[in-house]
Amino acid sequence: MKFRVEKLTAGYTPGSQTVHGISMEIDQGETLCLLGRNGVGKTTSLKAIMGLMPYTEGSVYLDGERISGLPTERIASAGIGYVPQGRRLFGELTVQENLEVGAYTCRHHRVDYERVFELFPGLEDRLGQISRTLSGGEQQMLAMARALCLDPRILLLDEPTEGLMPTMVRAIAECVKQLMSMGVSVIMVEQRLDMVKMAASRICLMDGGTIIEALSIDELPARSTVIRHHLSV
Amino acid sequence: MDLGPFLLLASLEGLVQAAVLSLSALGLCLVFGVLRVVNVAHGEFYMVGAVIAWSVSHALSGHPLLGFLAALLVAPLLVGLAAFTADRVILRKINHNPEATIVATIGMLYVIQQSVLIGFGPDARAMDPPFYFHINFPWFGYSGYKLSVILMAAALLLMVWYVISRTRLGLLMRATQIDREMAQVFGIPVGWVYGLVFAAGAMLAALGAVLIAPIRQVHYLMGLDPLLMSFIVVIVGGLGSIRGALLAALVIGMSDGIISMFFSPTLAKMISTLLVALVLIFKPEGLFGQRKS
Repeated sequence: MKFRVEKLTAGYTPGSQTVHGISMEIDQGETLCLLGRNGVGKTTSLKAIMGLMPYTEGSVYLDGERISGLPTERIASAGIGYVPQGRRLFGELTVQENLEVGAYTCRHHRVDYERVFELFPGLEDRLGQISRTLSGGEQQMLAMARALCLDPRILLLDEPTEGLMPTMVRAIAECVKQLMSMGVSVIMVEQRLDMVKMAASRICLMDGGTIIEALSIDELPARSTVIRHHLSV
Repeated sequence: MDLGPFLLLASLEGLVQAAVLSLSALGLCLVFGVLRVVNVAHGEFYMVGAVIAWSVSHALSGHPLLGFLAALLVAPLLVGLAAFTADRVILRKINHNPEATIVATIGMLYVIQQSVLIGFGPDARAMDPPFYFHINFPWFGYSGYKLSVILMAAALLLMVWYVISRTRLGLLMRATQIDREMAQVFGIPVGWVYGLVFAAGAMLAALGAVLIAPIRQVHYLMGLDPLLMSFIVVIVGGLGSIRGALLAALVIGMSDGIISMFFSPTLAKMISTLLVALVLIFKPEGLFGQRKS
């Protein structure tokens, strides 16, 4: 599995681009983290990959096939899962129904509950609960579980630890590592360095809508001062 | 007739009205709830349903029940197909933009109405009830067909509830209603869901029309009244709220039937419209609608 983004330029309004020609590649089982302060184009990049935002230039390839330009539902069917910022669960639906919606593109639309409960054991007793009544951490777990039900090859995570307690952050980092071991590749937008250290294998530092530096996780300690500078407001 | 029996008779008439109105209003409510658009042509789908019912029942010789059952099957299917086509050909092209959809469905209203006028003619036509029998109360006899309309409408509403809350299609509809973009993120073909819901809304209106056709005369202008009443029901119940629409249909249908019998149909419509005004002033989101944060 190979996922490639080539010179992607995208923005909310025509003529005003938030992301300028970003390129990245990710192999199977890798976690690539997009780092940077608010407004540098991290979320826009994920949305553009997912087809939720118009882009003016560039392409996205999955296993050599161009998926940019396809409608969002076909990008999802190609094997791209997306967990948006703020989770955006179907709040009026139960946990089980959220998972069933997630499994829509799977064969027979079946939820692989064994896999879901292996990664997120806390959801097993909550299947019948209305999802908006879950705690923040549980909602994040459900959002990730729902995306996993799509059986993705690439999972896009937008600030999965936003507003969560440190224990939940560790739990989510563990989930991401387990996903990597299952062969799922993850592109994660994150602002917490502790999460990045726990879960990422590579980092792309963003500023002004471009990737200004790409490094492996091993290079992080040597570059931490620069990275902290780019994360501070 | 004494007041008590007269009130019972008026209540039965109100229930018949409420039964048909709930089907029609539920259709409008579904379309607004999922697509977030107002279908001004909804009443014309109702009218076309009644015209098809009349045509089918007259084309089939034999017992009227045969024609009625055929109409119950054919009318909603044809109307649903027409609505689905209209969604794909017109509404999808304007991206279901709320304002543009209002204009487009006004256009559809006139095209459908004038087409029926040309093809069906301006005369009101009667359709035979599928069966004749009377339930004899101590004070008056009441049409068995009218009572069966209440039961059939209740059964249809139960089926709609089952589809929405217990089937995969219903789940996709609810997910799309809650968050269209996230539904797409999970591979749901939202465009097809929209088309199906638009067709389902029109089919519900057509079903209501088939039930009412043997009671009222079939006419090319008969869609205007149900459109107005459905709008009243959907606004009072809360835009997009199915529970609200059903409750409002019961209350408004009953009050409309009772007031029409005790006083006049015009007064009944005035009171319903006044109720909408009061709801818009004191509870703009309707009885069960969600207040915008």
